[in-house]
Amino acid sequence: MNFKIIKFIILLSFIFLVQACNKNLTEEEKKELWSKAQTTGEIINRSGTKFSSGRNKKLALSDAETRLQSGGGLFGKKGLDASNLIGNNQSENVSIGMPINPYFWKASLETISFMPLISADPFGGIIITDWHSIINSDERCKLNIFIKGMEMKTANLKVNSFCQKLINNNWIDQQINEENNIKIENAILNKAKKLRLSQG
Amino acid sequence: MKKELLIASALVGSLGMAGVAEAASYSISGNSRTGVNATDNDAGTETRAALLQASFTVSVTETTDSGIIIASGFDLAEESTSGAGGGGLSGLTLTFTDGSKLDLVSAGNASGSHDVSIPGTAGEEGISVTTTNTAPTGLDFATGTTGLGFEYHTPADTLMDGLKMSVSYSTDSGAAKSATPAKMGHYAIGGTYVTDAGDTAVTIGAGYSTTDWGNTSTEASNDESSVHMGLSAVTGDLTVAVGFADGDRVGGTNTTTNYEASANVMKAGAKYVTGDMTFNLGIAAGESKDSRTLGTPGTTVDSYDKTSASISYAVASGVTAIVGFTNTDTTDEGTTVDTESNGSAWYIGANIAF
Repeated sequence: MNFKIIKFIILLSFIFLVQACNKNLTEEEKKELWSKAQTTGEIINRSGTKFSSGRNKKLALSDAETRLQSGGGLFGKKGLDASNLIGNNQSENVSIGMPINPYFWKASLETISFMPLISADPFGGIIITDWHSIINSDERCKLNIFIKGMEMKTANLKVNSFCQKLINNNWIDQQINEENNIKIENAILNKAKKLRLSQG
Repeated sequence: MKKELLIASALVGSLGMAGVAEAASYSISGNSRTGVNATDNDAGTETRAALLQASFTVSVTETTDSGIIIASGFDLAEESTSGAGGGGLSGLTLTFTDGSKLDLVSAGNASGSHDVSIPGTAGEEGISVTTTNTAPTGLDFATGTTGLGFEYHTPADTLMDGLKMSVSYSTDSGAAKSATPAKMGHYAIGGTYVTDAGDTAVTIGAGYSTTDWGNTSTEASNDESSVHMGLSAVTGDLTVAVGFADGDRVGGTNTTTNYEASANVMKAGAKYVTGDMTFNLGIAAGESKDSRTLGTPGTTVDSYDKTSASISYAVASGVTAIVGFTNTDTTDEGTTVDTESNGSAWYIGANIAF
């Protein structure tokens, strides 16, 4: 028994020794770290499961992992709101939402945050960047991103990239690279999926 | 304080009387696991069974004007296999504005809340191991609670960035001791530390728990207690984790099955996610020296080695399809006398969460 307590104290000392790793983290970085914590309690906490780990940990963990892997439950992360089922919701709020998928919108802006923007229209779902070039590069590119609807599906996202090359002091249009467009679409889709999972 | 009490009253009344439920919101949610499980033990016995497990929970939540969240609820469960199940009532959970949380009544064990999740099969398959084998397969093998207590979780980044801790305590019901050992109370502490190393997110989880067991005759040599520690690293879509636990166990249902044991377990596993598919692979190696005479430490070793793997596919939101496989090798009292406790099992099924 004493040996176990000593081991636990050694572990705590180890944690304090490595605390220097986490110095100067921003709030966003801390949030990102906690979103990846792998203890059973943290997994259950962030999954949105309503099952209590104190009552039945095996069930809570199984439900949590199903929800985290599939992006929530059949009725969303928060289950079925019984208040609405029996018409008892007296605090209805009317709001005007974006006509486009908000996760696609936010993910698109985050993915291309390194590029200057010319236009970003949340109601039309159109993001247009300015020409962007890496320092000392003779190539520059710009992107047009179209978010076409509310549903989170691949068909509702389209990226068009345009690149030019500097030849004899003239910017010459390059052939459109569909593969690059798909890579950017996939990056946005992945980020949107993670945003949805983290926000429920 | 008066405001809190008034709202708590509304919370209690909201389920039974929908008309006065404005103060609290409640939701229904559930989980269904349906599949086929097949086992093939070394005694040559092949069995197949349909596995139907369904659980349903009603959750009630209220947010007070001061921002404190009070939550409670109850489960209805129907499981055709042994193990966790049955109906269950939830205690109260208070979530405070600083992110700390207090579970009251039917609370968990602080050590068990901080065990690192080691990847392994996501399926429900498994070989039924003889009950006399007390070798553990989980890091939280000695994290009991009587339910008459609390568990407190600090907010994230307590004391230093990346640290979260929990403490828990429970006491006995006051019922007279019997010949069968029963939990008389526990206290536990656990912690989770998260940090990064380059692009890798690292989680360290550890805990210590001690549970007092009591009975009328000679009691176990040691209280049930354990310490566990685990480390998990997430790099992109790959998760790798290892953990171990060491401690003493006490249990039994009557004077012939009562036991005390000195046990340990080591686990390791990896998980890889690609698109909607998740691959899991895990091993667990548990050992236990048990004795059927309380007060007399055991000398021979029970072992439980498990290798498992699964592939799960996210079919839709809340629905995953799973194929799992598990191989089990055990010894009881140092020998493989029970071939029915050894073999392999597979599972194909689906989990539905709603």
